[in-house]
Amino acid sequence: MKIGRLLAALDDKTRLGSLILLLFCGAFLLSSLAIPVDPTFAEHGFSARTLPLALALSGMVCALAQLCLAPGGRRRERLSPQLRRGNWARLGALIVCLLAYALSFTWLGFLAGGALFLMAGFFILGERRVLFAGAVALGLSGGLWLLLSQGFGLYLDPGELYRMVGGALP
Amino acid sequence: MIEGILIGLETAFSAQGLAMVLAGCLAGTLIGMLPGLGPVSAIALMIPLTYGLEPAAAMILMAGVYYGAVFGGSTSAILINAPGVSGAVATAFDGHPMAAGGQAGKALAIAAYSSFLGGSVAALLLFVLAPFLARLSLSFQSSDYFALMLFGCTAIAALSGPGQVLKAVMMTLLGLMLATVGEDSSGIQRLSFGVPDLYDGFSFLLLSMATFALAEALMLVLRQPAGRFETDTDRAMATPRDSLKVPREELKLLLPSAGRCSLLGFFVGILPGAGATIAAFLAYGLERNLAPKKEREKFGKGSSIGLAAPETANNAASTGSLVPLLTLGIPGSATTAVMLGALLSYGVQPGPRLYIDHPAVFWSVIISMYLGNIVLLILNLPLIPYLAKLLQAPRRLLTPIILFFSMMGVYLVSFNPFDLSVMVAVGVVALLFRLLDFPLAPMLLGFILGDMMEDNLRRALLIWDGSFAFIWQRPQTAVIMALALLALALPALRGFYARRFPPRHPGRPS
Repeated sequence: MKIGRLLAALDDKTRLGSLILLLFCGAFLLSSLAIPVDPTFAEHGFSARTLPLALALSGMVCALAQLCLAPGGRRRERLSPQLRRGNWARLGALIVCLLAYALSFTWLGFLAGGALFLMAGFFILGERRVLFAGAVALGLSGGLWLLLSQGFGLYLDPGELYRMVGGALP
Repeated sequence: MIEGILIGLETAFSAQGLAMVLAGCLAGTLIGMLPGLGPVSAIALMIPLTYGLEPAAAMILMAGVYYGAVFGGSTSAILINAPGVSGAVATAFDGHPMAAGGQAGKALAIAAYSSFLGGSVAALLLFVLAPFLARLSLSFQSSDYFALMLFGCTAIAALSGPGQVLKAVMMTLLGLMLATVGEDSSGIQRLSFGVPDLYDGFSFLLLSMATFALAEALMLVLRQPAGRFETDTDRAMATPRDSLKVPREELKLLLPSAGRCSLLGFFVGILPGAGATIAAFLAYGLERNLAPKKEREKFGKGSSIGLAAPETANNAASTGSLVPLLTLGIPGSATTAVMLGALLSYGVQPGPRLYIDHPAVFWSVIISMYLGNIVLLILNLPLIPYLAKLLQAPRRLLTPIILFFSMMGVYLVSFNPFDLSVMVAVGVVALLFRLLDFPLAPMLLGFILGDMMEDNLRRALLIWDGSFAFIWQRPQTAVIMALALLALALPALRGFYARRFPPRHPGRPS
């Protein structure tokens, strides 16, 4: 019952956003207190800690003010209708795909990582022509690799996997 | 001086000079369109190619690249909501909604015309006022810069809708907080929690790509029902060639706005450290406040003035930033710092004697600035229908491609895969804030200005011995601070005025 009431209270875009920011500012304030202070600058009233502390406190004041001033009752903007309508499965799959790409980049490298990410992304969003998707993904990833590495002379990481396989080759 | 101008004209209008402007604008536009490769990278990439050239020809090429890259950055901001450079962030506010509404061609055309106007007015001002303005810009002190940054931050009042000012202030504070992560100017590590990848703080591009391109793409995916991923935007993207025309009524509103923003952009651009970003935000804020009520309501949803204002100002500021470089040898931005390095490597020392010792370099660069604007317009207008067609690709293909390019842009700045994970995390948080209707542009604005604001405040306090008296004792600072307060209070004053004097309905007896 209490959880239900809490969820209902949080079903308010402005209040929920302000609460998140209030919590963030609180955590930021605590972290700011741990910043070391250089005595030379502290003498002049401004150290490495001054601005973060001032910002965290200002943020907390604003968030509290917004929590109090946000319109309530029928005028509040509810989040739940938006949550019900969203395509969360597809969004979740795409975020997992993005995370997998980011985390596997060191292993797969620029070329293979990019091509695999693009193919997975195309598949998640409904492209079922495997050959076509593969050709577009490889073409884009390879084209960009060619332009940047051969055209502009930038070093692009080929990935640990490539180095392991390349190292094993005669 | 006349002799110097004639030498400059001869150099700029020679076959080599014209070829350099053309090549520079083309290369700059193409490089600038890639997220992550802005004007700084574009010029840096060109330096090795210029070693065999005369200094004047090399500088003409670089000026063309500079202009082209600034315009290219706006193109990616408008088409895929991926502002690769901070100066193009404000362009995306109205440029992308226009493109998403099927007016990509018109948006790109307005951007091209505005860039041309801003750059042309600024080139003329540079031609006439350069030495005088350089001396004037030196009179600006840290306290004035701090006030100017604060004024830039109060542009949030313009970026936020009715009843959203407090939310915008909170988001600006969040951006300022994120800017404090990493080593501060006294060498102390702050809020990096012992993670070496955070020692340098967050990169602008990471936050920009995550909050705009990534969050936008994720939002689109979330809003689509199950089944094959096609959006209304796919159908709206048909951009016939005649959409490049800007109606006469709109032109009547756009021209005065372009005039104001050219002047604003040029004078802000002259100030070392201020540059195109502040100019673009200030111009956006200024025009939103000056726009008629009906037009003001369109801001953020695809207003042509909202697109033209920052675009004019950032181009004018790019030209203005050459004033301190050419006349004092002070680089006002990262891009002009790279240009300074290039000039020194050719054996040319920029400064007050540049137009006496190297008149060909000094005047040909200024003249080629104007030429570059014309070339850019001639080059880009025919390209616009083809660029706009990029958006006609099916969304199920375009969305992963935008995500891939955005992530590659971030990787190319630091070559650190850790940034990719941070970008995904920031993108998800940005999506949450978008769902909660908290504006993200003020956060980015706070982040961009945070470092400069803190450095200038610190210096001002050192100069004034820890006292904040500079706010009321130094006239320049006091005036800018007053303007900042006025900008913040304007929405409230306007609301009060509207309540106090409600509009009368026509035809109804008063």
